[in-house]
Amino acid sequence: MARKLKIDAIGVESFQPEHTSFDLVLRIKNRAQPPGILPQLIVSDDISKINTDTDIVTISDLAKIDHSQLKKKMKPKIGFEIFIANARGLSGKELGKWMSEAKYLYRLSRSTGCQFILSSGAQSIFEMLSARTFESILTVLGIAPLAYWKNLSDWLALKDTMRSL
Amino acid sequence: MLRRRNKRRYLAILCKLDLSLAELRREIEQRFTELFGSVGIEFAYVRSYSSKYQGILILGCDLNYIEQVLFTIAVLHHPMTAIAMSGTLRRLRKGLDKLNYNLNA
Repeated sequence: MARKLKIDAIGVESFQPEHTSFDLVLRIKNRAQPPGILPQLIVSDDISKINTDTDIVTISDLAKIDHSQLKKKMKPKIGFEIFIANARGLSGKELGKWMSEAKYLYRLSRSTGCQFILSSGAQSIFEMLSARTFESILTVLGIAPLAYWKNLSDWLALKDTMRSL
Repeated sequence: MLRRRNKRRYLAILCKLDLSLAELRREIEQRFTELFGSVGIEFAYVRSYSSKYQGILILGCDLNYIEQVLFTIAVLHHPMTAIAMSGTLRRLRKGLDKLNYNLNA
C-alpha cells in the first residue's frame, strides 16, 4: 500500500492519549488523487525537478551540491531538508565539509524565505534522535534552536493553511 | 581561591550489541577527537560507567561539552542514540529503571 501511494516515511507522535489528524503528516512523492484526510507534504529528491507543488526538497549529498543551481531554484516557502543519517558514514574531514554546507544552506534558506529542515533520516531505532540531540546539532551548527523550531512550526502551519484553502 | 569541580552530565545511550561497550566508547572518543580535537576530548572528560541493562552504555561528560558529545553520538558510524540524560549517575539509573518498567508494562 505504501509503495502504491509512494509514501517513504511516516512520522508518528505516540505519547498523546488521543490522536488528532494533525499528529500525522504524510510525506509523498507525488500528489495523491484525491487528497487524503491527513495533511501531506510533497517531497522531491531532485533539485532540477522542483515545481509549484513541491513542498520539500531533500538533499542527500551536501558535498556535491551545486550552489549556482541551488540559488536559482530557491523559491520562498520551499523546505530544504538534510538528513543526519547521511552524515554518519562520512570521515572527519567530510563531516566538517557537511557541517559547513549545512550552515550555508541554513543562511541561504533564511535569506530567501525558504525553510531549512534537519531530519534524522532514521531507518532503525538506533538512528532515531531525541529533541535534545536535535538541539545540540543545531547549536553546533550555529543555529538557535528556539528560532529553528518556531520557524519550522510557522512553516508547517502555513503549509497546512495553504492546503486547506 | 575557591575551586569547584565542573558539573557533569550522564547519558544513557542505546546501542546495538554487536560491539563491546569498550569498543563503543573508543569509537565515540575517536569521532569526538576528529571533530573537536585532542584538547576538546580531554576537557570534555568523557568516561563510561557500568550499566545493568544490555545494549545501554552510560557515558559521563563535562556539562560545558554536552552539546558536542550529543552531536558526536548523532554522527557516529555505528548508529546509537541518547535516550536519557541526568545530572547524577544515581538519577540516571533510576530513570532507566523507570523507563524499563514502563516499556515492560
